[in-house]
Amino acid sequence: MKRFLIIIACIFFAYFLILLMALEKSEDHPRFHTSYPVPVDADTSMSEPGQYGGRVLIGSIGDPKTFNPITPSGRTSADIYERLFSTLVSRDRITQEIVPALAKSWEFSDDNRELTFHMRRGVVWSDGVPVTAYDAEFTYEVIYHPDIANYLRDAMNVNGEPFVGTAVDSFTFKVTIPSPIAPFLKLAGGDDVHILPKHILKPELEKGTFDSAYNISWPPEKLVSCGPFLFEKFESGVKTALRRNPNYWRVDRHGNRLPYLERIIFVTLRNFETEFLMFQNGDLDMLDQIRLSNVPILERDAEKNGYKVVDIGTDVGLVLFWFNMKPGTNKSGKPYVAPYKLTWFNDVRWRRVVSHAVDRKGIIERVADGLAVPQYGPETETNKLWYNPNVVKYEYDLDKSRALLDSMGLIDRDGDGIREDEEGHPAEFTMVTYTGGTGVTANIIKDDLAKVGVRMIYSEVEFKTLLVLIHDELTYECGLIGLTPGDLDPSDGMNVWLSSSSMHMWNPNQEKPATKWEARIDELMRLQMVTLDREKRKEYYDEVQYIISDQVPFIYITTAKAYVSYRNEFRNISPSVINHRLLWNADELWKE
Amino acid sequence: MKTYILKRLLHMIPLLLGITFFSFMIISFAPGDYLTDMSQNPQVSAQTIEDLRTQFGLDRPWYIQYAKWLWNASHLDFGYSFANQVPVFTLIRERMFNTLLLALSAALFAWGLSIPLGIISAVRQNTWVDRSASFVSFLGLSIPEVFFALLMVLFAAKTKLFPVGGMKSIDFEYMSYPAQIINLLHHLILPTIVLGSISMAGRMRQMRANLLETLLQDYIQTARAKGLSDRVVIYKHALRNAINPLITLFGFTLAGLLSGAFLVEVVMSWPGLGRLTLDALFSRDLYLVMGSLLMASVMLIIGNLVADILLALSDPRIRYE
Repeated sequence: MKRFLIIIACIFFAYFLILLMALEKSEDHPRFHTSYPVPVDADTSMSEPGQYGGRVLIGSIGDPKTFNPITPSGRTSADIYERLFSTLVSRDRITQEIVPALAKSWEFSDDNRELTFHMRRGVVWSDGVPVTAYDAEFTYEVIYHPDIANYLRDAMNVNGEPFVGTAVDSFTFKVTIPSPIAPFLKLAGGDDVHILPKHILKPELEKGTFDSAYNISWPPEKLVSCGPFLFEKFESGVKTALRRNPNYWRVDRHGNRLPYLERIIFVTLRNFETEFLMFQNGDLDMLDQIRLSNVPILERDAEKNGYKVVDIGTDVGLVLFWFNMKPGTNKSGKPYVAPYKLTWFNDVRWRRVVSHAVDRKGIIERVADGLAVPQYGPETETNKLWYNPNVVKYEYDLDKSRALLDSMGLIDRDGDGIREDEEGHPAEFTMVTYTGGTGVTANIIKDDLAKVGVRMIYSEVEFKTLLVLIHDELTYECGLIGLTPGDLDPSDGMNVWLSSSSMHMWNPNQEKPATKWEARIDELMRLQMVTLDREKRKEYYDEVQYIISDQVPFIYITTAKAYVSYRNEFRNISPSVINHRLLWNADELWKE
Repeated sequence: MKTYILKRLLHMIPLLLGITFFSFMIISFAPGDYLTDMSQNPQVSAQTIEDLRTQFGLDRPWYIQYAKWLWNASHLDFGYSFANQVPVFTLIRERMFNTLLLALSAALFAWGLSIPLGIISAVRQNTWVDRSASFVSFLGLSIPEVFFALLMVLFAAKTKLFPVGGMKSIDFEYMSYPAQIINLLHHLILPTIVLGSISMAGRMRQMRANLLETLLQDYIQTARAKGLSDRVVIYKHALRNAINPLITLFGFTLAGLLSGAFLVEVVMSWPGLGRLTLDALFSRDLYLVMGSLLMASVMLIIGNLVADILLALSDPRIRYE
């Protein structure tokens, strides 16, 4: 018995030791307190001046992958490193126009092939080294470095020719391109091009270890940056803490340095439901992504629990489905799509039949609790500068569907309720999407199609399997997926609308445009790319939107409304549908 | 005994080879790889994806990738996570510790409750104490773990008595050490109950049955006939014999709890190895999956080994020669 008790005591002692190992010591570092003079060119924020202190707790789904803004990572990482770094220019999330950032001004040469950025003087990195045009030049060196795979350079080129960035002097950075393009400014210095500290990262680049520089186990005091916040601490599966940069380059109207908040803490969570529960519980201060079914619950408790729920307009992400129009056969000689079905899918009447059978209003009522709007074209009204409201709307009308089917020669010949073509092939197709997606929506469409005599078979596969199917194997009939644009500029759609592109999902990688309307879209997309006059450019892109809505290669369903929620004590919040919805102006936020 | 342990450790080698080979094969046969998600990003060109594929070595056949991984792993280099560009072991280390903490808590909870409860129900067989303990244990055995975990999360959210998830408060590092311990224990309570309840219920039934059986033995009759008090008979004679099989089970329970922690971690946001593995699996972060599978397998095998050794130590009839 004694031995038994000793064993128990030992076990408890060991357990206690393990518990002790989880304890932590908080550390403060001089970099959070060392203040250099306010830059001579400091940017003055027009927002309401506030008071210092406080912190924000916000959820992030999953851990950040890296704090390196160049290596491909994903939304969660970007939400964090966008607070750590600065860009030359930035897109104002409210007006959607481009505004100065590290560059206080810029000018184009007469032939529009040269862009000169004038950088702010007196801005310093968190270790006190000045931020100069040489840092911008180094950033370009990294982006085009053959060993550094990244997708910035996929956009930063003109017909494959890179942008050439050179530092003329410490505060003048010049970018040259072979021929003028419309999104030059946005691509050369916009929100994706985070300026890197040359004195820290140049040695890493030379050693060949750039990819793992600034990773999640990088020592915080060596993670030098010049954004509104500095990296303080990362704990896998728990949180990422950012702390105020005492040397940020913006000031408020009274000349006091931004930001006001002392800390931003991203709490790692696994799903939106936990995030929602924690917000309601008071463990989080903000919700930037809210499931529509949770909106009524939030609104009900808003006053009692002291927070606001704000409708910020429609989401930028779209849900759409399309028919596979890829001709030909795969490697083993099997046609991608059965030839008779390919004929239907290529017939615009077929695609209109299906669009007419989508009961968008019904879907909004039954799936989105009324918190969505019908969608017909490729842009939403959220995109203030480029949205074309005058697109063709094939609205819910089963009679029109029936008439179109009749005109295609698809008639119910054997009386089983399903139409057949002349050779007796039944009018049916299989829609494939990913698990956990939009089952209810698909079933509503399926029921309506059945009413007009078309059988839709619905199948779900795992997300990666779906991607392989629609991008590599191409042996499917109809796909449904969500698509989120990177930016609001039409140039971001090049990879989707050009018929030669891999993301031209209904018929990818075409050698030359398969149809006249696709040829026209190619032409218009190339034109909008090189047209500098914004009115003209809008005309071109309006026509693209019109053709897409008329030819319906993508059948759009609905666009969800977007909501954010935050506690009443936060000031200067101006939510935007463009990421990050709440923290894009984190430097101006303050807490009462 | 020493040769036995050595032999068992040598057995680990083919076992781990088999585990890693089949896992690697199965993961490689699943459609898509870590880079597939990028093909749905309008900003990424097909060329960039191919460049990355070459850089990560994913363009080669799976058996060559496996051979390369195995060679590096035999030098204790488990590769880099694709997503993080950090050595896999760095990522696993911290999470493994968290999983161990949860599993140990659950084991202590299960054993600390099941043995006394088992004894009481055996000694007071067919009284209300026995019946209610049995009721609780059947409930524990029959309730699905996921459902139980979700119920607990809801309970925490509604009553606000417990944190909704996670392992420590956000302000953890600024607290005093005693407050940190209290905070940690506070976060541990619900996951421990969820994870420990099944094995608690099982062990309790076992303890009860063992003790009841022992109490019917002849030597107990003899002890009673000698006029020993009930207390001495039960705690000195019967219990020591009844508890032996349970001690040996401790190692197995620990191994089982380590793998069972997976589910609880996911539902209750516990930052353990299970969640890391699951996320890595969904994103096909190959070497991270392999690293954590290897780690989990090693922990399981060692758990079983400990169980066998405990068996030998506690029961003199068993000899490994």
